[in-house]
Amino acid sequence: MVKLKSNDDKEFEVEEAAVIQSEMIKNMIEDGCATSVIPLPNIDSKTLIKVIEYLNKHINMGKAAETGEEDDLKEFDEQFVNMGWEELFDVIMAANYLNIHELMELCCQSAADRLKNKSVRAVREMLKITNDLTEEEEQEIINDAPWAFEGPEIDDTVN
Amino acid sequence: MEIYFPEEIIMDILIRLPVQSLLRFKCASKFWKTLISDPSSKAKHNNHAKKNKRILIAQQVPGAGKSFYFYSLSSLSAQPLQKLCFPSTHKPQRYVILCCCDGLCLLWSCSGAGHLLWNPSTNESVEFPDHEYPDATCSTYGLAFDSINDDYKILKIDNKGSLTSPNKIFALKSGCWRNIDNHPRGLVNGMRGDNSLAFVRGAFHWISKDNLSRHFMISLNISNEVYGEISLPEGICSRWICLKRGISVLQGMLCAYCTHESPRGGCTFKLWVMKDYGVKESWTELFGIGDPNLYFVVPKYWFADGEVLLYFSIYQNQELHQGFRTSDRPYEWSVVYPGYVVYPGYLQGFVYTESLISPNYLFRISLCLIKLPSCGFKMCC
Repeated sequence: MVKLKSNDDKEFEVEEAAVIQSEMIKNMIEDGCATSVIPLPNIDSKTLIKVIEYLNKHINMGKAAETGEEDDLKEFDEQFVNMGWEELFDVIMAANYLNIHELMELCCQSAADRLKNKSVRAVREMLKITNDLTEEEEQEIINDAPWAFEGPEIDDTVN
Repeated sequence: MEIYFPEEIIMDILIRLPVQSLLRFKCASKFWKTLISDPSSKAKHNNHAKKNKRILIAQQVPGAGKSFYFYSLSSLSAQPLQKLCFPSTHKPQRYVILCCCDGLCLLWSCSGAGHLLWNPSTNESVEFPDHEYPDATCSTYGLAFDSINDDYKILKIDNKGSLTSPNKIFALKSGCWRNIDNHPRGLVNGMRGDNSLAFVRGAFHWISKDNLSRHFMISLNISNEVYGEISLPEGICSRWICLKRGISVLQGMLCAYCTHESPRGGCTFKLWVMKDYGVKESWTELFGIGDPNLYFVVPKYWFADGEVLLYFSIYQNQELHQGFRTSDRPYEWSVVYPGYVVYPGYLQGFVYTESLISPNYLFRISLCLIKLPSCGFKMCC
């Protein structure tokens, strides 16, 4: 078992087989740097619980294909990304820090799916972007590709 | 909580977004505008978007003109996703599709305006003339990325079988057509523009014949312009009259196909795949389709479920029907045209991956490098 510690000082025990899906922790174990508790100063306990849930479910990814559990895993992934926008971003940041490739793929795809039909205003709000373009510059971008700004699918809500 | 996103994470999300969303999100801020317009972002997006394929359709309806569409690419049915805008200074009905690569599409104008390199996803385009060979229907084209020289290249081969017409290469960074030596014993025959040159492993591939009418496959490496030869499957050169034969790439593998008259009347289509590149013994026949009305078939895409998307043409009741079907079942739509269509352009379909790659950007590089007054580029947005 490997012990992980979140930035709010909570400790979690995870099976080594699960935790080595994180390239960062795998390297630490291989280098002999994971003898006691691994502190994760960038990850809070709420996010770490989600990440561990994912790691435990995906522990035997290779076996899933053999035993026909792929559908089960797919369903889990769909349910897993069904979380709030800020929570999703916390998981992305954690997956990036821990270097968990599959989790990064899953969450970035979910983020892209949520963003793709958003209006410019909604995207600015969701990604905390401050608009520093002048009205003329904005109009120029719109004039270059007016069809990208039209259509019933464009969604102005933030969620 | 204030969220701060490192640029690499933004990029990981950005590469998964459709081009239309990205064009809109350029309006978010100066940073986003710069990020999305950056050529390296475009290249990363292109590499990711290759998984996300669709069909670019050019459809001419008599009396109603020609329109370009994106259709979904699925083995079950084709659904229209988007009717495309065409560069405002050009008339779509005058253009036929010659080839596609990385979201770029090479078109040819039958009214003599030359070629148009068009990105249908961003609607950016650049035109360049080709005065010397005005008739693209006698030629077959390929467009591909030369990763060694970091340049897009167009290869044009002449189909008249005349040794006097050299093959030509247009490197986008050089901005001009350049003759290259033909294969020493290759005489091209009977290929037409309803398919482009097959590109795999850095080389274009096509079927040629020697002066004893023996058919073989030619390859041309676009980086070093060296020719090679690959054996065709037994059976592609049957004694029956062949209406069409050609080379495609399906799931990264070379495929050979032919439609020939069958002894019991009608026509038969056959498709072979070369499982190991260059190994003659690895040619495997995938399937055949017999149909009394078959005119010709061109394979376009091999789905994960094993179905192959086929562009077909059948001749029935003195009408030529063109459309798409899969190896197992008819597709939901096909288009009927009265009369005999002798050259392509009425219904065309090319497997397409959308990209942000700008034809203008590619040409700007070439214009910065050398000024060639004879090349007369014109950029349009």
